[in-house]
Parts: sequence; C-alpha cells; structure tokens
Amino acid sequence: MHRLVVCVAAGLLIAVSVSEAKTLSVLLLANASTQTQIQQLLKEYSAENSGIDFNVSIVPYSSFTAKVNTLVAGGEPPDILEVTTAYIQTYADLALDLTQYTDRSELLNRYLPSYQAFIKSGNKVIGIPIEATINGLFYNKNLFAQAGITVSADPAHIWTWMQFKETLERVMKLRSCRIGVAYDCSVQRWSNLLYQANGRWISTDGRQILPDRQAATQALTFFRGLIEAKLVPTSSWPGKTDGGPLFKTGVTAMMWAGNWELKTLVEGGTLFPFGTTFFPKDAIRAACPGGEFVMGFAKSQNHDDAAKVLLWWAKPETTKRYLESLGGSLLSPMQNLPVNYGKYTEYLKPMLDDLSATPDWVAEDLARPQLNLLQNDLLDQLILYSTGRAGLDATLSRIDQLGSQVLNRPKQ
Amino acid sequence: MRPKTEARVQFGRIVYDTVALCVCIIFLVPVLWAVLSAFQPPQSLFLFPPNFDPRGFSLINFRAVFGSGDVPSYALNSLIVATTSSLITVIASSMAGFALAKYRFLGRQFIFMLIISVLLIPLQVLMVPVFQILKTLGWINNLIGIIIPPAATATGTFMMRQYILGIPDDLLEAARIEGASEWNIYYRVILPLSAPALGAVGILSFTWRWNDYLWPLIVISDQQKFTLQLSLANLVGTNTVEWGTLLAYATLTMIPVLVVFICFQRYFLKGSLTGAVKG
Amino acid sequence: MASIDSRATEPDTRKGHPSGIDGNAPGRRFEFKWAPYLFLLPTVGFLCVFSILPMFSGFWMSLHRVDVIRGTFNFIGLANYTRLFHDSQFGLSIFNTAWYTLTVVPLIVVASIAIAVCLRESRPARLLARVGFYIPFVLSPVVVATSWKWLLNEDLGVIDGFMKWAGLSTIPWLSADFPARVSVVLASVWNLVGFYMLMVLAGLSQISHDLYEAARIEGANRWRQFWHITLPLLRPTILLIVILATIHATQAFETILLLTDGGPGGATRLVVQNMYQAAFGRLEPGYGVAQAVVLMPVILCVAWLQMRLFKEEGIF
Repeated sequence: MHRLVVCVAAGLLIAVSVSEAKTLSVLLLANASTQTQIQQLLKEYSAENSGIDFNVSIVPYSSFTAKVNTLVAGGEPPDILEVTTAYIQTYADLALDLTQYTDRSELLNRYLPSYQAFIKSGNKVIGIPIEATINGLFYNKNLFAQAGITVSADPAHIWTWMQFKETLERVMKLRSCRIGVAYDCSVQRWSNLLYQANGRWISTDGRQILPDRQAATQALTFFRGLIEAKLVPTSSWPGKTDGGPLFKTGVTAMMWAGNWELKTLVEGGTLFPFGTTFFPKDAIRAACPGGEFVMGFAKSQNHDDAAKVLLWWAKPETTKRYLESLGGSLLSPMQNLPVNYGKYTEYLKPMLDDLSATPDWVAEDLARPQLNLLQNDLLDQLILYSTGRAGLDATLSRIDQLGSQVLNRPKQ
Repeated sequence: MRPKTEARVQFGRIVYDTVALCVCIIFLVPVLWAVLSAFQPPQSLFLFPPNFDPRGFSLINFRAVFGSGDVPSYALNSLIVATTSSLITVIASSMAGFALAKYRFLGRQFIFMLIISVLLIPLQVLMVPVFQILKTLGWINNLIGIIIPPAATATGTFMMRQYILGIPDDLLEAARIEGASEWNIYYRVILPLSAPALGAVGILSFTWRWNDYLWPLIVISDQQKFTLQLSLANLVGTNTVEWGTLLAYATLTMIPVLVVFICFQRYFLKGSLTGAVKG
Repeated sequence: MASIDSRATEPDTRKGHPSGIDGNAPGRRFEFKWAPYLFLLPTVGFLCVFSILPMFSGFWMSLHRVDVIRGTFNFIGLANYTRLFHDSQFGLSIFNTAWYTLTVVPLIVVASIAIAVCLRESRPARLLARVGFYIPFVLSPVVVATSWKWLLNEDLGVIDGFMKWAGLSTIPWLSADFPARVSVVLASVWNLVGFYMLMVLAGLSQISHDLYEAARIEGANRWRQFWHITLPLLRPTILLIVILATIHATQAFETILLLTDGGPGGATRLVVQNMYQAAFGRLEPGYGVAQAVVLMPVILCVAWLQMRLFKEEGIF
C-alpha cells in the first residue's frame, strides 16, 4: 500500500520539476475571513502572468512560529509569507528587501504612517500591508437600552476611564446582564490601556521596558480595578475564554475586541442588536492598530518572482480589489484609498475615528520584535498583578528583570 | 436454579445496564455539548442560556465544513495514513514485544530502557532536527513522512511485551521441539495468542495517527496532502475562531475512529487463553 | 508434549544456535541468537532515526545559543544548564508536572479498572457503554478543551450554574491556582480513561473464567473474586498503565495549553509547555532542549523505580 503512495508521490515530484511554470510557495495564516480571498487574488495574478503558479499552504496562528522557524532553519523558507504585526519584524533580517525592486519613499508613502512603521527596517522595506485591523469596542444595544444609557456617537464626547467604569457598573445592575466587558486575555488588548495612559512598552532607544512608570501604574491599577469590581469576568482574565463567544451569549454588555469580529457578528448574525463605539480615553485617545502583511524571504527559491507579486499587491487598485472582495469588514492600510465598506460602514465609523486619533508611535511600539518575544512572560505578570496575586512593585521589578534579559541580549 | 432467582438475576443485570448507560451519558456531557452546538445556527451558538431545541437545528455548519477545503481528499489522506501506519505499528511492536518478552539476549535491559526513554523525548522542541532528517530522506511534503516515523511507538511495544509475557513458555517450548523456526513461532504461536493486545494496539494506533497533528504540521506543506486534523486546526483563525464549523468538523472526524473501535473491539475482546492455561 | 529423551536426540533448530545436544548446557546464560535482534530491528531502527537522532542533535543545540532565524550557533557550553538552576519558572513547571502526574496516574488507574471491570461482560448495553467511555479519547484537543472551558465557565457554565442553584458559592475553576489544577486533571483523566480502559479489558481477557468458576463454587462473592483473583492477575497490566500514564503525564501539553494556557499566571504550566515557550515564544531553542535533556534521566529513574516496586519480572 505505501509503495503505491511512494510511486504516486514520486510521480508528482517529477511532474512538478519537469514543468516549465514556476511555482511559488505561499504560506498563509488560517483565517476564514481572508484565506479564500487571498487564494482567489493569487489566481488572478496567475491568470495575468502565465508561467507563475502558487502552491498555497495554510497554518494556524498558534503553530505559526513552529512551522515558519522549522522551514527557515531547514533551508526552505516560503516564497511568500502572510504575517501579522507581531511577527513581521521578527523576520526582518531575512526578509526580501523590496527597495531593491522599487523606490523606497514612493512605496512607503502609499501607506498610513502607522503601517509604514511596521514595514520599515533600517533602510529596507520588508513587506506589504494588505489589510488593517483596529481594536474596537462593541456593545449590546438591548442591554444598554434596558439600562437607559445612550452611547455617544460624537467623538467630542468620549467616555473617560471613570465614566467607562461607571457605565459598566450601571449596566451590570441589570439581572439580564451577567458579564460587563468581555476582554480578551492578551498583551495586545491590555496594551490599549497603556497607550491610552500615554505610556509605551519599550523606550525609543530600545533599552528600557515600561519607561513611563506613571502611565504604566495608571493602566495597571485601572485594569485591576475593573477586575476587582467584576466588570471584567474571571472567565476572561485569567480564564482566557475568547471574547467573541462571550459576547454572543447575549448577556454581555460590552466586548473589547476589534473589527475582525465584525464578519462573524454581522454575517452570522446575533439574536440581539449590537453596535460599536469609541474607546474611552485617559491621557489620550489610542487604539491598537494591527494588520496582515505579506513578505518574502531573500533566500527563498523564487524570491525575484515573489517580489514582483508583492509589488503588484502594493498597487492601490489591487489592494482595493482585495479589500472589497472581503466584503468590507477589514480596513485599508493605504492612505487616500476610498474603499467601499458596504454593510460594515456604520460599525467601522467609530473604529476609523479611533485609528485616526491614535498617535504613530503606538504602531512603532507594537512592532518591536522584543515585545513579541516577551509575550508569554509579560502576560503572566499582567495576570498575576491584575488578579491580585502580586503587588505593584514586585510586578514592575519582575517586568524589569524579564525585559532586560531580552532587550539587552547580545547581538550576534 | 429456581426460576424466581433467575428472573431476579436478569432484572439485576438490566438495572446494572441502565445505570452503566446513565453514567456513560453523564460522562459524555461535554461531548454532547459539542455535538449539539454543531447543529446550532450561527446566531444561536453560544447563546445563554443555550437553546438546544431540535426544531432550531441547522446543517449550516456541516455545509461549511465541506466548503472549507477539499474535505474528501483530506479524509482520504487521513485514512491512508492511519491505516498504513497502524499496520506497520502492529507488526513492528508485536515483533519487538516478542523479542523483549521471550528472549534473553545481550543488551536486553539496555534496549528496553532505550525504548522507554524515547517516550520522554518531546517532539515539540525537536521539530528542526526532525525536519532536517526527513529532508535528507526526501520525505518532506510526502505522506510517507507521516506514516513511517510515528509508526514505531514505544507505547505499542511496551503493551505487546506486557501481554506476551503472559503467554506461557510451555507453548513456545512445544513449538520449538516440534522444529518450528523462530519466525514460525512468532507467526503461528505468538500472533494468534496475542490477538487481544494486537487489536488494542491497532485501535489505539489508528486513533493516534488519525489525530496526529505535530508530525503532519512539520512534514506537510502541500494543501492537497493535508490530513483532517491539519485542516481542522486551520479553523482556529488568527483573531477569531470558526466555532460552528469547528464543532461540526470535530463531530464528523470522530466518526471513522469510532467505527474502527466498534468493529474491532468485539473481535479482539472475545478471545482468552482459557484453553492454554491450566487453572 | 515431548519427553526429555526426544529433546536430547532432536537436532536443535533454533536459528544461530550452535547445533549439538549441548545447546542447553546449564550455566550458559547469554547465547548469541539472531532472532531477537531481527525482531527488534524495525522498531529500534525507526526510533533511532526519528526520535533518538533528533535528540542528539537537540542536545548539540542545547550547548549553543541558537538564533533560529539568522541560523547562527554560538557555543556556550553548559550555560543553558546552569541557567536552569536559577530559573524559577522552570522550577514551577516541574512542581506543576509532579503534582499533575501524582494526581492523574492514580485516578486513571482506579477509573480505568473500575470502568473495565464493570463493563466486562459482552452484553449489548455494556458494549455500547464501552464505546461511550472511549469517545473522549478520540476527540481532538481543541474540542476537549473548548467543551470543558464552557462547562467550567464561572459565570455561564453548567457546573457553577448548578452550584448557584444548589445555594453553594461558585468555584473559580479556571481562574484560581488550585481549582485550575483540578480542572486540568479532570479534563485529562476524562480524555484518557478510554485508552486505559482498553488496556485493562485486554488484560482481563487473559484471566481464565475457570478461576472465577472455582472461586464461585467455593462461595466467594463478587468483591472477593475481584480482590483476590482479578487484581493480582491484573498486576502486569496495572504496571503497564502506571508507567505509561506517568510518562504520558509528564509529556502533557496540548489539551492543557488550550484549556488554561498555563493556568492563571503559570499555575498549570507543565514542563513541555515551558520548553515550547522557550523554543518558540522566546526563540531560545537551545534552552528549551536543555530542559528536556535534564528531565529525561529524572523521569527514567521514576519509571525504573516503578518497575522495581512492582517487582517487574524478566528485567530485574
């Protein structure tokens, strides 16, 4: 039996190597909202450029480093890789430098400043943003109506942190409300609060972690307060239950998530009406920009062809076509690119406003690869402090320790 | 035996059966939740309190499963891999178990501890060396790469050894005296007598290979060579999870393994050594 | 059955065995036979190539600071190993693994024997129940973790809902250290008991019915039959379960990862997760493998001790 399989496999391998078409290996992130559309887009490229084929493979986010690092270390990096903000800078040294193929500033200036930060590495341009995500605040319209609270639709009247907390307390008094705000347990979501307090994770020179102690303390104490008041449920912190399912229960007042939730909520539908609103502010307004990028590897087999594909995607008309094929649930990372967001327009308004109010350095901070390396450790410390298991000083000193281990790692 | 006592015994058995089934159902509550949720339309999924009214059931998630990729291909790949690999495992581990159980030879202790120590090797941190070895063999992106490497299981060997230890040496001696070669002893004496363990190892091996995730993740890149588990894992997206489709998919993927179990358990659990063992 | 005389006159046909009547001379313990080595060849061969070889390669990695991305290897000798001694996270994960193992293994042994013995008869209802108990073993870890997560949800889950209804206070199943550890043990035992039940069933089938008949005639009731016949004759199977369950427990990873991701602040982070995070989270694969190298002899000792305890025949 397995001899047959070997023969078939050998036959396939021979067939592939003999054919004249070039096949680029593409590794995509598992994402029901986008994976089909990306493959569709690549098919369009194949149709326009004969001789170029794509061999697409999909990997889930949780196994992303495992798969990519294995391929890279094994000498078989993919020609094109889809990657998130958390990982794009990690591979910066190996990335295909697009400035070899086109003009640097012209390419960069197509994109929103936040997204330029993600794809710059020294003088190189290491990838192309294909979609933008932004954190957003969702709320259950039924519960808010029952509590008699109107949500502001005007950017001039945004809740402060205190007002946000009070609103949640009011809604939670309802019997039909079991959960205040479904808040995903991750560093990225928590970082929202840090940025709203005008603090950052890593200093501009890259040597110190949490340089603005006051802002950090502010964010830490506020969030701990939310948990102590049971506004953030234990199933979220530290239970690590996803926010999406919690919000869909219909007994949750708000969800601190992002525009990626829109597709499920709008197309799958909910048995209750929901809306989106602006994030509360503290010192400043801030939301965490994120997104997906495509990048290449300088040492991959077909890196020149890969560069052509990436630059084709970087054309405004291609990006626009791709985003519109998604139905409009994901945002455009490009400047001056009007995209039709269809039925999502109303929901995206507050989020787009939050995005424009977010200072550029937030994206720079989020793009740091060291932040990604520290993910698990920082999350542990955040959980320990927020759930009352550790004190403030102990937590901050532990974070300092962990940070210096990584930030001061000797360069090879 | 008086008829009255006979009836009481029968009644006792039926009560016992019912209790067993009830305990079983309570035991399966998490699974029932998953399966019933698979039938929920998207807006009702995760609703609180849950509404498991069959009239509200929908097959939309199951349809989405087949829309998520070339599921019949993945199923075929999983089937090929699981069946072939289990066969190899059953043969290899019974041979190894026989050697460890019924022979005294130089290095026996060492090889035994070696096999156990393999169980302690966490593949998760060794993915890069494994990839390089498979690349040298040319087994990357090839179903062979997920059939053969995991087929030699230390657990299977261990299980077979334990079982074969229980086969009386007299039978082997008798066969040897009648002039049987070692291979014949294995083939005609050991294999038939260890049928229960063979069945157990076969079923377990099938389950393991069917549910394998790490090996296929390392080895397979081509979408069409994916197994069901790889495809199922892709429903866990970067930021959101396709819960409905995932639960439906998981419900479907467990059916073949259960079928294998049901078919084989009756076959291998009937036998015993009643004839050979003198009480 | 042959008599001693015929054995002395038949030529010895064992492969590789020196022919002649003296083949069985007393006192010769290790005679060179090909047969066992050939039988072991496939298994040992595969294991060497696909498990042991990577381990050596991994050990080599642990002596370096490896940058997987840039592909650089910097020899640092035993620095990774000395670092382990000061690593409180590593220490915590060992404690968690030990706690987990010591809880899971006895529970599995008791549960699998209980279920197998109760479902021993081949009546249709019990065959059906066997399938039922086996089902959780077949589920993929994502489903196991998700369904348990929802059951144990403190705000919306069935279990805490029941406790609220009964007037008791809810238990923070996944958000406090001890309950989280209990939850993880429960979910794991639930997941694995079907596998071990199978092994016990196979072992039970080796016990002759005649023994039970004889005991019943002598007036022994069910419980005594179990205690004096079943349990002792299940000894080899129980040893097998204990050793396998111990080893599998020390390697527990995926289900726990999905259920608690290491638990509230690391309370349910076991060693394999710690290694995985070192290798793929912090991108220090050398350090991850160092942990595996340190743990292997420890667990091997535990397994060896278990075999001594059960007075394992044939090896010691």
